[in-house]
Amino acid sequence: MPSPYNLDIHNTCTECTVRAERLFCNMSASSISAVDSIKFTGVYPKGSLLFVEGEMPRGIFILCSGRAKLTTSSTEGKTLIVKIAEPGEVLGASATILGKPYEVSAETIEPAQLNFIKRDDFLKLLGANAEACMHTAQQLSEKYHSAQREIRSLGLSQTTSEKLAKLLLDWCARGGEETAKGIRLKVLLTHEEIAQMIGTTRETVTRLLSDFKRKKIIDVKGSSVFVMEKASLETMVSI
Amino acid sequence: MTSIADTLSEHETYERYGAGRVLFREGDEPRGVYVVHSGQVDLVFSGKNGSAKPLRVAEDGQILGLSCVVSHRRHDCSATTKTSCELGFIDRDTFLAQIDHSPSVWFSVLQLLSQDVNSCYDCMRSITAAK
Repeated sequence: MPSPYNLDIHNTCTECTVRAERLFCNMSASSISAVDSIKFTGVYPKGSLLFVEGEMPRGIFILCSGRAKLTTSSTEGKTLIVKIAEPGEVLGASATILGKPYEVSAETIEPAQLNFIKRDDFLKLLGANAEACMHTAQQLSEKYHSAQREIRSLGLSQTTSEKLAKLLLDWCARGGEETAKGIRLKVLLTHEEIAQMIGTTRETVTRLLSDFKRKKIIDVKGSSVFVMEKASLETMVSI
Repeated sequence: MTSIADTLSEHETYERYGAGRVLFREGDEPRGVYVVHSGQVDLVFSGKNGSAKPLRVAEDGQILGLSCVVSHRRHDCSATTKTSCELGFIDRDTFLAQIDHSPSVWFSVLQLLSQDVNSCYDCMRSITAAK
């Protein structure tokens, strides 16, 4: 029987075949059994809102497959994407641990499997299991360093074209595929969402991408961006 | 004072520093953590062209270098005392040995890391609002 959204669904953490590759889930058998006993598995379509900034924390979500965007809003109402969360990441941990409202909103940008753990159950797990604490600390550290990178990019970049060049270079480093045409990036974000990642407007992103294309630095085919002149992007980046 | 700082206080080396003292630089391997007992510490990024950007100011009760020690990463910002400070230093191995196997101390570490993450989100909102 086909699975929802053709996802490879893992209902049991102890039998998950990709667990060893995941920072949080790569725990001893006894610890992952403890996680498995308190989690609820869910499959979500693209565009599902998992939690909203300002909402009191209900618990954490472990992103088993698919990706999600984490966004925050300034007091002026500007939306900023602080991170695109990848499979294996834990979402909502800082709010759940502190018992304070979620600082960001989380929304799936493609079909996803998520395992939800209620706040009380998660806190009990942390109170009894040092290994779960260590893996959660690594997750929080990863979020912290990722946020620091974003602050550096937002705060130190001199121009919007520099920010866009840096974003494309980051994507090349993380998931770019070498092809004869250049480095292929599968971009699931709209121009509006790219604008929210670098703190600008959709119109500016559209104009800059056209400009990069005209200069033959990149090419765009459907949802793929081909970076043909990586060196040109690197010369634009000063940070 | 945070509970973890209480727990670890017997392992701290206390020092008083004047303003302008560099505690660690971006790119350094973390030697340990600094507990801020009084005063303020500037956390700053630097760009390729030498430009610097303030990230945030750490104050008493905060622990510097925590995420780098826990995740075995190099420092991604520099820390310099902004005012006269009283700081406690705990070397990395001692720190990790103290928190190992103790969920209660670990939980304090998680709370501090969570606060650090939230501070970053605050900073991002401020930068976005200012543009």
